[in-house]
This record gives sequence, C-alpha cells and structure tokens, in this order.
Amino acid sequence: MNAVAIRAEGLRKRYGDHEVLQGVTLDVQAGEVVGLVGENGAGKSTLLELLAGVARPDEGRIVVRGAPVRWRRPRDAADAGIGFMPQEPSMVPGITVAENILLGREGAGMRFGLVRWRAMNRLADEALREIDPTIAPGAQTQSLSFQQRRRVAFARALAAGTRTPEAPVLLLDEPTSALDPDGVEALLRGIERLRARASIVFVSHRLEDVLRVCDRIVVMADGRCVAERAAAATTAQELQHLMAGRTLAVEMAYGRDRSHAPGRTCLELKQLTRIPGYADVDLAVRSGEVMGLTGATASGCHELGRTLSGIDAPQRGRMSIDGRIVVLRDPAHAVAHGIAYVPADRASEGVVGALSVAENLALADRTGWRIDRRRERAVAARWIERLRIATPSASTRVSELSGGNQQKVALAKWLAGPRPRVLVLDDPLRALDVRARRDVVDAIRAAALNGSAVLVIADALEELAAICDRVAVMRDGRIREDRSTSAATRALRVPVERAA
Amino acid sequence: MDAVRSNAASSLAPTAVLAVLVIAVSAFAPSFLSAYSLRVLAEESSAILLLATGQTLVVILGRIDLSTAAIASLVSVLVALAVPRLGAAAVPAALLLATAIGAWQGVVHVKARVPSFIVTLAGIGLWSGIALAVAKTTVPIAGRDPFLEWLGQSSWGMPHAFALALATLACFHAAMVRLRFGRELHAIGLAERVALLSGVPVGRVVVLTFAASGLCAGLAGTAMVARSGSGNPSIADSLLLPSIAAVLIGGTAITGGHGSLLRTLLGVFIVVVLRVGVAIAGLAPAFEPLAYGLLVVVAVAATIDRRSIGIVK
Amino acid sequence: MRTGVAMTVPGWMRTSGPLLALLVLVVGFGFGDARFVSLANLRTILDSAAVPLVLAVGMTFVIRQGSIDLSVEGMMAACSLVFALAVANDRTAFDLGWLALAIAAALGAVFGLANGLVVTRLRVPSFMATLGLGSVGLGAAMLLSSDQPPLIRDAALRQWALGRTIGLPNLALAAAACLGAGLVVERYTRLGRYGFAIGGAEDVARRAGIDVDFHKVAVFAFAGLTSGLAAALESARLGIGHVEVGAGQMLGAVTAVIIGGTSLAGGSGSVLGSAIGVLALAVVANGLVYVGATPHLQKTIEGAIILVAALLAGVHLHDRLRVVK
Repeated sequence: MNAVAIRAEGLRKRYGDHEVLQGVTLDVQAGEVVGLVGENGAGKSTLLELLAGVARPDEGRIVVRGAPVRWRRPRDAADAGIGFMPQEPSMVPGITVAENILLGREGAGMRFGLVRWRAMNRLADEALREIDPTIAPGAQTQSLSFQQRRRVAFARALAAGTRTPEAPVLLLDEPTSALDPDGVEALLRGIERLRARASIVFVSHRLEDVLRVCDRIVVMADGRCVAERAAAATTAQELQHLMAGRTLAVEMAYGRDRSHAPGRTCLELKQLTRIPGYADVDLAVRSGEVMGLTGATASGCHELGRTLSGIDAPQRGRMSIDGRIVVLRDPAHAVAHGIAYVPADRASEGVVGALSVAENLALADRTGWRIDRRRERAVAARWIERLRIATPSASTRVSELSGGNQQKVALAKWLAGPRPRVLVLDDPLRALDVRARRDVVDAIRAAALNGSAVLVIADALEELAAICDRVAVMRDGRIREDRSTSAATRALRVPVERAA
Repeated sequence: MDAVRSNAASSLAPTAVLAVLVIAVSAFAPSFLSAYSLRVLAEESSAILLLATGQTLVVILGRIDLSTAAIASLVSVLVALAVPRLGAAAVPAALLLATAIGAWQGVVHVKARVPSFIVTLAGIGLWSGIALAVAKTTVPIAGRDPFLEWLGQSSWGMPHAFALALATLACFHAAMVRLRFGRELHAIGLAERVALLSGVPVGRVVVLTFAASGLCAGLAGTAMVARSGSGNPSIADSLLLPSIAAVLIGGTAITGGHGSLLRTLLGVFIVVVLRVGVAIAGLAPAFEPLAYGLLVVVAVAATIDRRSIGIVK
Repeated sequence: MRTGVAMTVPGWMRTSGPLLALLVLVVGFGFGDARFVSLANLRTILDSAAVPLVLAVGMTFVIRQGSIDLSVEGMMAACSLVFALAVANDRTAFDLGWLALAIAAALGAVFGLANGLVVTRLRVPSFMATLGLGSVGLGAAMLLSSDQPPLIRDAALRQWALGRTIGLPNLALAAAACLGAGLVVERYTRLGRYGFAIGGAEDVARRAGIDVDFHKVAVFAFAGLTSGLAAALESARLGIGHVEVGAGQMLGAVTAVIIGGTSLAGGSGSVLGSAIGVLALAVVANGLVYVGATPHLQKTIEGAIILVAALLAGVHLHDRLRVVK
C-alpha cells in the first residue's frame, strides 16, 4: 500500500468575511502527481499556501508522512521537506542564483555566519541540474531571463523538498503561467522526470498540461473538493463541466429588459496590445449595452480592464470613445474622459476605508470647488436606499461595512455623479451573497439603461450570462469568442480551450 | 475602530502635554505668563508656525519636505539683498521664487517618481548652497521696505509676524475644510490608489501642496529677516526639526491621511514653550535638541497608522 | 512580470560608470591646472576622503537595505565628544589612547542599535527615527561640550592622525582598512548577503525564514559603528572634540553611496562603488578650489548629484499605480 505523503483534513480558512476554504480534505500518495484544478477563487492557491506553511488554517489539520504537523512559519514546512513554488514567485534580484535557491536554508553553504561559496554552489547545483543545467549557480539573478528565473524558482522548491532523506513533496502553483511554449515544455518534462521520486501537487488552469503529467485530478470549487478523477479516465470537457459546478445560472435569471435597444458604439478597441497580457484585441461596446468579458487565469481580461481604466498603457492599438481616439495618461485622465472603473480589489482600490460613506460617494464628483455637505448627505441617503447599503449612517466609516456593502459604495460612487460614458467593472460580484448580487446587478443594468456603455469582467461565464447582452471570451491574451449571450450560454459549454 | 481610537488619543495627548509644560515652566519662572514673555513666545513662534503650516499639508499627503528651512534661509538672504534694488517688490518676488521652488520639487517628485524625502534632501543642498554662494555671511537689509518694517513691529502686544502666521494658518485651514482640495489631500494620504482611480488629479494636488509648502517657507524667511533686520544663509537651519516635530507632536501622523492644522498650532505651542522654557529654567541649550528628538520619536510611534505601512523601512 | 528591480540603465554603466566618471574628473581637472595631479595634491585628496569613506561604508549597508540614516551628524557629535574626553585632553584626567577609538566606535554601535530598535520595534520609518535620534545625539554632545570643547593633548595620537606611512596619509590607510572590512562583510558573511535580500525583496526574505528585524538592527548598529569611528578619526585629526564635527557629512555620505551605484530602492550596490563615489566627491571639492570656484558650490553640487542619481534610479518604474511617497 502506498504511504500518504501529505494529507489535508477538513481545512478551513477565512479571509475577512470571505470563507475561502470550506472544509477541504485531500490526500497525496507517495510518488503521485495530483493535479488541482478549479476556477479563480476556488481556493487552490490558498490550499497550497496552507500546505506549504505560508498561512495557517483556521480549522482542520495537516498530516505529513503519517504525523500531524502544526507549522508556525514557512521555514518549518521547508524543513519538513515540502517545496513550494508560489504563483508569483519572487526572486531577490541582487544576489546569485545559488543564494536564491538556498535562501534561508543554506545548510553547509553558510557556517558561523560566513558564506562558503563552493559549498553553496554545489548544493544549489544539485537541484539546478535537474531543472536546467545551463544555468550556473554563481550567475547573478538579474542577468537571467524571465523564463530562467521561473526555472530557478522551481529549483528552489526542489531544493527545499530534498532537504530531508524522505521523498520530497512539491507544491507547484501555476508554474507554467506566463512561460512561452518552450518553457512550458521544459517544465512539464521536469515534472515527469521527478515523478518517480517525489509527490507533486500541480495546480494549473491549462487542462491539457494537467491531463498530461498527472496521475489523478482533483476539482475544486467554492472552497471545496467537489470531484476526483483518474487522469486517464477523464477529458478536459468533463473537467470544465465539473469546475463550473455552481448552480448560479438558476439564481441569475433576473429577467432582463429586452425591449431596451442599445445605442451607438461608445467604446471601441482596435488591435489593442500589451504584452504580457493581451494582444490584438478588437472590441466594441455600445451605449446602453452590457458587455461581458471572461476568461481563465492569464487570459488577459483583467489586464485589459486595467488598461481601460488608465492604469497601464497599451503598447499598440487604439482606443476610442464616442468616435474620438483617446490616449490615457493615467486614471485621472480616464475619468476625465468619462471612464469609470470599479476595481476587483475593493478594499485597497475601491474605497477609502477611513472616510465615511458620504465622503466616499463624493470622491468621484469633481464638480465645483467647495464641499457642499448638505448635498452630499442627500446624495448618500438616496444611494444607500437605492442599493440597500447596510450601514448605520452616511457618516459611518466604510471600513466598518461588510465586503458586499463596500462594493456597493465603490459602485455607487460612479453612479452618484455625472453619468459615466463607459463603466468598467472588474469582478463586481465576487464574494457577495445572493441578495447583494441582485442589488449590484440591478444597479449595473440601471447604469446601462441610463446610457453608459458597461463592460463587466468576471472569471465565470455563468455569472455574466444573466446580466450581459453580449459576452466575449479571452484566452491567453486574445479574444476567442464574441457573441450574444443566448447563443453563448449554450455554445460555450463546449470547451473553448482548443488551440487557436 | 483603530482609527477612531488613535484619533481621540492624538487629540487629547498634545493638549495634555501643553498644559503640563506650561504649568511646569510657570512653576520655575512665574513671570512666564506675563504679557512681555508671551510676546516673546509669539515672536519665537512665528517662523516655526509658518514652516509647520506648509509641512502639515505635505505630511497629510504622506510626504515630507526637508527643504523648508533651506528655502526660508535662501529667501531671507535674497530679500535682504533685493530690497535696495527692488524696493517693495523684493518680498513678493522672493515669495514667488519660494513658491516656484516648492512647485519644482513637487514636479520632480511626481514626474520622476523620486521619493519626497530624497528630492527635498537634495533641496537642502541645492538651496543652502545657493544661499551660501550668494551671501557668505549675514547680509543686513540695506534699504527700506515698509512691509518688512511693519512685519517687525507689534500692536497691542501681538507681533505682526505672529499675526501673519496665524492668518496664514487660518486661511489654509479654511481651505482644507471647505474646499474639495482638502478632502482630496486626506484621500491621497489615506489611500492614494483609490484617489487616483476615482479621478482625483493626484499629481496636480501634490505639486500644489509642495508649492504651498515653499510659499510658507518663504513667508517664514521673510518673517525672520524682518525680525532680525538681516538675512543669513543658515538663519532657519535650526528650525527644521522643531517645525517637523511640531507637526508630529500635534498629532498629524507621518503616515498621512490624518491630521489638521489646528493640531499643528497646538504642536507649535508645545515646541516653543519647550524652547523658551529650557532657557528660562536655566537648563543648558543642549536640552532642546534632546527633547525634540525624543518627542519626535515618541509622537511618530504613537500616531503612526500601523495598518498602512506594510513594510517599515 | 514585476520581480523587484528592473534595469534600463545598462549593466556596464552601473558597474564601471562611476569609475569612468572619476577618471574623467581627474583628467579634466588636471587639464585645468597641472598642480592638481601633483603627488602632494593627490595625497591631500586621499586625506580629505578618509573620514567620508568610513561613513560611506556604513551608509552603503543602510541604503542597500532600503533604509536611510540621517543621524550621522548627531552621532558623530556625541562620539567625538566622548572620544576627546577619553584621550589625554585639557578637561578630564583620562588618557586611554587607542582604547578611546574602540569606545567611540562602540558608542556609535549602541546608537545605531537604538536606531534599529526604534525602526523595527516601534515601526517608525528610518528617516524619522534617525532624524530624531540624531537630534538626541546632538543634544548629548552639547551637554558634554558645555561650551568648552575639549582639546586633545595626546601627542602620539595626533601625530599618527596627521602623519603618513609608506607615503600615504594614515587616516586614508585606516579608511582603506575599514573599506576592506566592509567588503568582506558584504561578500562573505550572512549579514552582508541577507542585506541584499532584505533590501531587494523583503517579503521574500521573510517568507524564507530570515530574521529580518535582527538583520536590520545589526545593519544600523554597523552604520553607527562606522560613524563613531569616523568621529574619532576626525577628532584626532582636528585635535578637538566638537559638536560640529559631523556637519555636512550626512549629505556627502548619501551622495557618495548613490553615485557609487547603490540604488535608493535597496537591494543592490557595493562598498567599492561607494568608495569611488567618495573619491569623486573629494576630487570635485578639491578641483573646484583649483578652478577658482567657490567652495560653497559644493553643497549645491551634492544636492544636484543626489537628484540626478535618484532620477536615474527611478527611470524604470513604469507601473503608474505604484505609490511613491
């Protein structure tokens, strides 16, 4: 019988008022490669972070090689032979490759506070050789290309894993994201080489990669493991179906007002490019229309949103509003052009926590020099009622409201002032309960009815189906599909991830 | 909840400190509360109050201006030199220059993404250096300027320079409370990304604020040259730390976002009473920098908004 | 992808740029006045660069970590007084000779320790913490000085400070030794290497299990040690313990470190680069005198250099949403 290398039992984790993991139980057998798939927000990264000791579970326990563990710092997990390659691995730029690989656990490479370069390089090389023998351990990290740095990150995970005499456990979170095809190939081959002597958890949104290297695939959704399949016995189509398991479509039949016809093209994008991110994007949104934009990890839809808001500049291509070409210098410039952006991260980008509801609502209103407190209170009262914002009063600090209500404030800020020409919302319904979702959806539709061109960016097609008139799907930076919703919901259940 | 609590604490504490200081000093020297000595206090406060006013606005933004004293010294020298040639236009011209210097520092900070303390640290060198190059030593005002003369006098026991400083503070305070500009300052200090995304022209606001700081520094230099009758390239050097200390001791957090000019007024009084009190109590002048240093560290540690600093460098 | 410091200033410019600039300066001034490159003048330059170099070694570590130390002037004042009062002088009966040097350095280290603790425990940003504690140091120095700066009477010490060995000023040799020590720490010790990690990517360092707070405090203590040492050397040369001993040194040290290629953002740089920066500034100061320019211009030039260096360092930051305070 195969021993269990690492096991998660009933793990729960909550961030703020959002329960990210709702009781996850998962086994990884020794010498097994387990694929972990799921949509954004399913909890995959959080699960890996708990297993790697980067965060601590609120409930549940972790068992490593038969013994339960309680880690206090990431170092403890590494000492136990768990190697972790996070989704956004950061390398320290100013030091050598060997130092990055061994950072924090140099072992024989550092004694009595002194560096022993030869030992350091030798130790690092053991891991490096497996992954990419062309990289010298003594090289300066900043001289490496992005692809090479990712491989060094992989080597770092491996080096941690091989600290103990037992077989290493490797946790890889989206190791292939943003790599070019050669890089992806090299990484997958690395995993295949290691499978004999390591237990690996491989998180990826690229189902074909997962099917290729994994023995078993676990599907996560909404903070739980919802299904498990042997890799040889399933297809990408079935996995997609399992991933989208929520019954959201049922809740989302809000009844759209089809009698309302959209107006002229308001926002138009031609060949918009910003690499890495997205390329050659053509998109048109009409006034009064609600357009949806969706895609999996690294599809580029969120990056596109940040360009539209003026945060990032495109490298090529054109953007026009009401027929006039605009080049956005910065977000304030975008707002001056009538583009309103509701960011995904509402706490740090959507509202000013220390200011009151009324003050936040007035923040985007740039009419006039003076503050008119009476008018602001009236405006606040109106929108608190319309959006059913649950707050003791208009002068309550926004940081005291729940996430859903903060989102309502972040949205109302734009609706309270002059009508935006373009309203871009990134992940507006994330972590909202059913009633809050309904209120926000109503507000979005009302904004469209009022004449704004609305673009909603979300990770799940189902979320968009009920609110949007049209949906565009992006993958790996390009738009693959663009059609009206009724056709989309049926047709797009067919896997879209065939290569273009 | 945290913000509310710390705000209450940082409102009461300065008042308490001031009360304690006044009582302590009066115990040493009962004449402390006489009209004469109060006038001396007011005179001493004028320059620091002006410097601290501009600094408050900058600190609310989450930035710092280390060059205020250097700008003030430069203005004192330029005014002293320019009065014989430009007459009554000397002061306005110097103030314009000070404002332009402040604005320029703001522009460099915004456009080139250079941290404010680096830009203004460089500014110390630049503006002091120019002042030193222009006037190696004390330059007496070789002409007559009615405004400067008026500034150096008092009416009904209130020095005009102090009145000017109070008026400046009052103007800026009114602007902060009544104009959208004030709220934008706070918003930028509290959550700059949100402000930016909400359409606040952050760059413009920052440059304006640094310009205001420059103007206040210029006014401080003018007050000093009026009082002493001569300009000097290092006349304001010893006032940099006290003016920053005044802002922080008054309860404006170095992290930005929270704070008000009224608090700074309180802070200035504390600082000046300390300054004068040390002299009156017969303590060595060494206790001034000692006290400031400690007060600054304590004030910052107490008012700092720990949640807004992820990594303290 | 955003992983810390990207570079648009080409690599070669970073490493050999400062050296090239130094050579250009020397050649340029030499053309202006041949006496500039005389042996005697070069010795003068080395002598004037000694104390700033000691300071720059410590400051390099601090800036590389992403912090700044504005307490140099106050610290030097306090250490200078203590040093002067500990050797044979006209006010106290002590005569500790070389031991006083160690005491001054140790006092500086204690000061630096205080800096580090205020930053790590009280979470006060380094520029405020060091500004405040520097002021405390100045006050302490003023107390010790009490209007009667102690004159140093230790003849052997003074002779050493003003003398030469193998043709080079002793102070310059001491500074070179300090530089060597700094280099060893930077390349071969955990403290040095982790400093790069903490400055370049502190969150990564923390997650890797590095005791960031401990190392930060250690770096501040090290910088304090160099300040104390510098104060002692300068006092020995001047023959007096004075509160003004450190006047203007802080700006010079920061400028030298930046010229030398250490980025203000942290995570890079070397004490060797800072040494070149110090030499460059010394050459400029010396050369300006030969060219006939007023020495007061030096402050302006230092300010301008900091600005230019900071501009170059910030050139690559394309993220518009990144907040720079």
